[in-house]
Amino acid sequence: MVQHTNLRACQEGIIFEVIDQEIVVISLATGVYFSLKSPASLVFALLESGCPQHELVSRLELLFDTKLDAHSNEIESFVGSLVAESIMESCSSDQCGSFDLATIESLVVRPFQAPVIEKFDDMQDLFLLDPVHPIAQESARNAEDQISR
Amino acid sequence: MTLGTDKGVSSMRRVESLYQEVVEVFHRTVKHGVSACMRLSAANRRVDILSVNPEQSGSYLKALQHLVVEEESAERRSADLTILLMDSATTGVQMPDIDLLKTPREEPRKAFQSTDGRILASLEGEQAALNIANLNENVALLWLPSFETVPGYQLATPFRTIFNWLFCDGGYQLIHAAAVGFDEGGVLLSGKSGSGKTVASLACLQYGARFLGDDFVIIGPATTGGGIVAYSIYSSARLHREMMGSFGLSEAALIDDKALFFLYPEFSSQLSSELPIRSVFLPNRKDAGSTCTRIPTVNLIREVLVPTVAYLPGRESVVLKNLTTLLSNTPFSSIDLGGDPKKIPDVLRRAVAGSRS
Repeated sequence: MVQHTNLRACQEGIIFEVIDQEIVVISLATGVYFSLKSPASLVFALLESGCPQHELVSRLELLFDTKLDAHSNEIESFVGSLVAESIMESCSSDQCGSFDLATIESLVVRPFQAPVIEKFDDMQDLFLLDPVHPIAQESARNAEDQISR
Repeated sequence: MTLGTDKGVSSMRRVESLYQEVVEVFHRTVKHGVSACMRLSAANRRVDILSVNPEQSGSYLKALQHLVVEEESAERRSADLTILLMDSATTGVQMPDIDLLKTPREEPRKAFQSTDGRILASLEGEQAALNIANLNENVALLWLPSFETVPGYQLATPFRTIFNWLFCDGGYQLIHAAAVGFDEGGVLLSGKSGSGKTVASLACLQYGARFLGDDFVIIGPATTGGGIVAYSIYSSARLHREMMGSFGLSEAALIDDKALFFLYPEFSSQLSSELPIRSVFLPNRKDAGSTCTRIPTVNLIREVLVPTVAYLPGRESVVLKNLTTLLSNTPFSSIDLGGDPKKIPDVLRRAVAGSRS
């Protein structure tokens, strides 16, 4: 992995949250959501907290206390997927976000496995729907006449 | 949502000036009318709603009537939130230029915000009702085209977008869920539209259970014990045509594909303003009995948080944070409610009793 750039979560239309050892990412622009389980969540957290791409494998090796040479291509490919899916974007080192150390350590699940993105599009219709609950326009006066039981 | 494009920067500035403009229009308009409307108590906050036309806006506010509080002037404290309500039909004033808030139909609904993120605006529905709020002043304004042409979903959940913006500070959160209560404790029923939330909550109401809402409630942290409390915000319910017979409802209640009806005042004694929540259920109706299965936290949060975020444009990162924080320590299960609504209350009551043990 030779890239010396930093990455951060896309600033427009992406929200994410840590849930247990998983990071759920929602794209508000498309309605697609992603599940990043460990170590994908850990890679995301390290990048988001300012770890440059070229230091990623060594940081993971420290956290997993094992050599990860055999996984470097998988990790690089995964990082490429984060960018390709518009989850992360390039930034300068002072533009990254932050994760506290305890959270990062909580995302370490041994043994190390190839990081993957799980992508879900089953809720897209909810994001694209307008109005939210479609229903024919009716007068408020009509609604007032509704029976209550 | 930060918008970095030229149009986005323009929108951010525009949102600030738009807020000033519409609030000025409201105050200019009420000089010729009556503005005092009603005070609500919801989720430990006092909300004043001022309308340019209290007579006509009563229909729009019907789902909130159960929250109205009467306070003597001596004990009246200032409102925590103030919502200004107006329409073009009553005032004769057309909405100012809101083109910058419009998004193509194929794009998700958006909330635009000011440079500091404290003023938000969005358009809602095909009629393009304007929601705008200033979080620094805790003042919001809803501008409808007409009180007489409000879509059914907006009548069922008035001010939903604005309530979300105003309430989510301080750890309270509007959530896409029904909530009912038994002696054994309160439960949230969450899931996509059509999952059975309304049928289950109305079945429980008929059984004699307490009712907080069938589609959206507010949740917040309990003061003791680390759990969560649900707060009622709407006393409305919307039910699909095919289920009306199960509850003795006539066709008269029908608006298009769903019936909209209001539970206040008829069910006043069963409408609770708040209840501690013992468990969260994801309902389904597979007619397989009453199986109740614990599922991983992340499944519930994914199924709850994604729809809630989708239904509530604006402040999405705060919504996500609030939901994950509040729900992280609450037990939850998927539950098969079966095909007979009459059996649902007992299934839920036993499930919540089981969740406590």
